[in-house]
Amino acid sequence: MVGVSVPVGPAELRKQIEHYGPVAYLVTVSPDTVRPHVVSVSVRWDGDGLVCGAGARTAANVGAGADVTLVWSPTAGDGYSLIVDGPARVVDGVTGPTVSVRPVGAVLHRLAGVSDGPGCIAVTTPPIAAEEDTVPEEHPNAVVVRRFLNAWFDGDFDTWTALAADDIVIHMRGKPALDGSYQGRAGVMRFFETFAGIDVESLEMDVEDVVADDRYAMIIMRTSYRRGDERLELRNACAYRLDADGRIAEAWNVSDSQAAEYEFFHLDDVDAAGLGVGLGPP
Amino acid sequence: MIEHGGVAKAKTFLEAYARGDEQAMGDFFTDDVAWHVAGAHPLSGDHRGKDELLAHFRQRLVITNGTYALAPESVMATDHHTALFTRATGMREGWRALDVVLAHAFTVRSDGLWREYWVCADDQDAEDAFWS
Repeated sequence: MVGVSVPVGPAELRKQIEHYGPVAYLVTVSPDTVRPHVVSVSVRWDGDGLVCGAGARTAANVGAGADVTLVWSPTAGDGYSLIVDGPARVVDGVTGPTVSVRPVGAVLHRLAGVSDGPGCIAVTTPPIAAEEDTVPEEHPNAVVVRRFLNAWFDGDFDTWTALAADDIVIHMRGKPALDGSYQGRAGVMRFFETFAGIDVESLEMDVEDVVADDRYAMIIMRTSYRRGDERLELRNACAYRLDADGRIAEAWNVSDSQAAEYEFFHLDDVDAAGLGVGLGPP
Repeated sequence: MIEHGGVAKAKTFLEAYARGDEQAMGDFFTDDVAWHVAGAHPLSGDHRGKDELLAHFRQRLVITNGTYALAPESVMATDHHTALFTRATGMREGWRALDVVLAHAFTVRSDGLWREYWVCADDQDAEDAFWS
């Protein structure tokens, strides 16, 4: 597959990112292990740079100086992904470290042979719809729950509530301050406020898989909490029920180790047997 | 749209579960499967091993005099994970009834066997009260 990649101006790139939406994958490389590290992020423009949230590992990789790549999944039947490369730096944000990427290259890319179109085109050319394409699209509800999770991770309350049904119910168990069910917009607000009070310095997440159909969705992910020298690594299964409008009506989750969560969150004074689903993303 | 092979596999598992066919159910899991049951009831916690998992499934039927049942609401799969949403119903002595939606997640090993299993209820309080 021969690629065509030409430098593009910010105007064309802005148009494409507006088309693809804020949710992308950020690919960084660990200087120690030379292994790629991929996280799902919510991207926004800040001047001529692209800014997204960063966990500890992402921030460390970016701090080591290597260029990064942002990848947007195909949104239409043409199967094109948007890939943006550039140098990046870590910037302290209000809710934690963020990564600022200076785009220096961008292409629309897809597998060769899936249609008559080229495998790789310059971003200056808008995607061309091709009905004969056979690349399976992600279910729209998978996109919704990804955005929902990213908005939560970035502290983007407006996006989070926009994706939620008016009568959304979030079930949280695992820490006394968060135990219970949170219902409706007021409940979501209370959940956010309470969550902000959790004694954790950083939270990093790696989405491993997202599945969805018309009614339900699930995200399988790794979460990493840090407080000083303490670290808690978990895998979470996050479950979502969506309403007919594609908005999230219910959310709950379970980690692979409730016991480790109790220990990390210092729940010695609480009867651990009285706690249920662990603290984790909604 | 072509159905992922993992979906048909999960549906076959649910059929085996409905029959109470432990041998057939066991064929889906690795011997050292790690499984995590959310909640604060006697059946919850982190566990390991296929034999214990099958005993766990059996226990749910024993406690409910065979009334415990999982009705599939949604079955989804990728090469690496399978997700089930089921309505779980059952009855215990004293007219204690269960009716919750369970989210089940499975991690798929390269040979197709499930090596990790999570399950949690939408209404965990109801689940806890029923099994306690």
